[in-house]
Amino acid sequence: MAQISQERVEVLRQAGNTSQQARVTSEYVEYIAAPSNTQEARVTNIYIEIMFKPKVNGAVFNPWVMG
Amino acid sequence: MALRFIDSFEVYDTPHIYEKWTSFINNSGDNVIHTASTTGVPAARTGTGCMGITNGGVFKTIDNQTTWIVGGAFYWPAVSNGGGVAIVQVNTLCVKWLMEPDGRIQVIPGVGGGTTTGTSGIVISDNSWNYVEAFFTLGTAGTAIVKINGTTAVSMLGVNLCSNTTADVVNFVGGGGGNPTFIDDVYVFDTNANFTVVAGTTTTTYTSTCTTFAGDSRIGTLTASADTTTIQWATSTGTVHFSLVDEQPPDDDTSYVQTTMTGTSTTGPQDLYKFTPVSGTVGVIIGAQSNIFARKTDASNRAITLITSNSQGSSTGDQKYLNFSYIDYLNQFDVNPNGGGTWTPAVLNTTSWGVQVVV
Repeated sequence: MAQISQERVEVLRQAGNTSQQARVTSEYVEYIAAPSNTQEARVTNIYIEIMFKPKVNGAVFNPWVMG
Repeated sequence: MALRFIDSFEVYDTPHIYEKWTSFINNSGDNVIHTASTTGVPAARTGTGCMGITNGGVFKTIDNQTTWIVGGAFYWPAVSNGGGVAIVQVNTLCVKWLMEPDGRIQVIPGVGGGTTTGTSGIVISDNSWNYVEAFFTLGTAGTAIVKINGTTAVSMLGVNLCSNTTADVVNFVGGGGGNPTFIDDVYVFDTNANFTVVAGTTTTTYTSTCTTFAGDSRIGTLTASADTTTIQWATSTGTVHFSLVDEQPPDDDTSYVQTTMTGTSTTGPQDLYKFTPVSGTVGVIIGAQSNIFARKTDASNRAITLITSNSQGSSTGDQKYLNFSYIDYLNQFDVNPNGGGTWTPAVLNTTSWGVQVVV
């Protein structure tokens, strides 16, 4: 970013404008980290759902007949 | 697979809807998990929760099937609210049934379908729970059968429902205009009777019976209730594991178990729990579904699998590659994966469930 600003300054100088300043407000470097293999598998909840037919008068019946 | 999805609406709350469902549309209305009745909101049909849905409702993307069987309990505070079930291929409507303002259910073909519709002779009233099931076989010579409380209400055979022959999305459509319809005890079947189980390196195929209407059914929940002797993950606090994964609703990063990968995909750390016993009211068990709310804590791959262990053996599910955000990773079991027998309360009450890290 700083280099581009300097080029811009030079263009403006050649145009006769010499009062402008090059200003950089932030500069940082990004990198891609190689996997460290320290990531965790995290489980916060586990439950089981069951699909069922309730007993009828206390007895079990075949849902594929009654359904 | 035949049993593809069930929801009791009893464990997670509204902020966790999107962790179990693929998507929901909530542009002006409800789509809320309700655990108590209030004005305009019913108590759950069974258990402790139900879901109110409005407008586009909730969507579950599964995979492409020609036939879908979708059932559930529906409650309309006013039948004029509408709502129902749609079968969708990506974003192309294939067929749907909707509640009409006169209390009758109408089956409506989708894109490329004919003009023939089907209307139920049965009339549903406001403020009542009704169990509505639909059997849809897509295509130009399709089938649409709707049952209301166990009675066939619409039967359309050999009709042009849509130009698509497969669809991958099941959509519970909400009430219009922001007025909710409520659903509970929902299920989704396909008609593929082959139920495949992986145990170590062995794959076994059993036969599922969940390939037709189930009839009015309930969905109940079992939560972790004790540790087994197989406890190999780290805890967020303390030494007791099961109590960190049994909250209703899930408490995300407040309490959890976690581990990195050690060993191989077959020897990775396991955490195995006992579960609450099946209620004494349970008669015949049609199927089971495990729900694991999990995530990984950093970049790079990490995967887990479900473990099902009982006196008939031990088996794993498929590998679930984790997201960075919590997702409810599901496995369905039409039969006991250890031997293929029908689920019974006695077998379930001696079954331990847990997780293993495999990648």
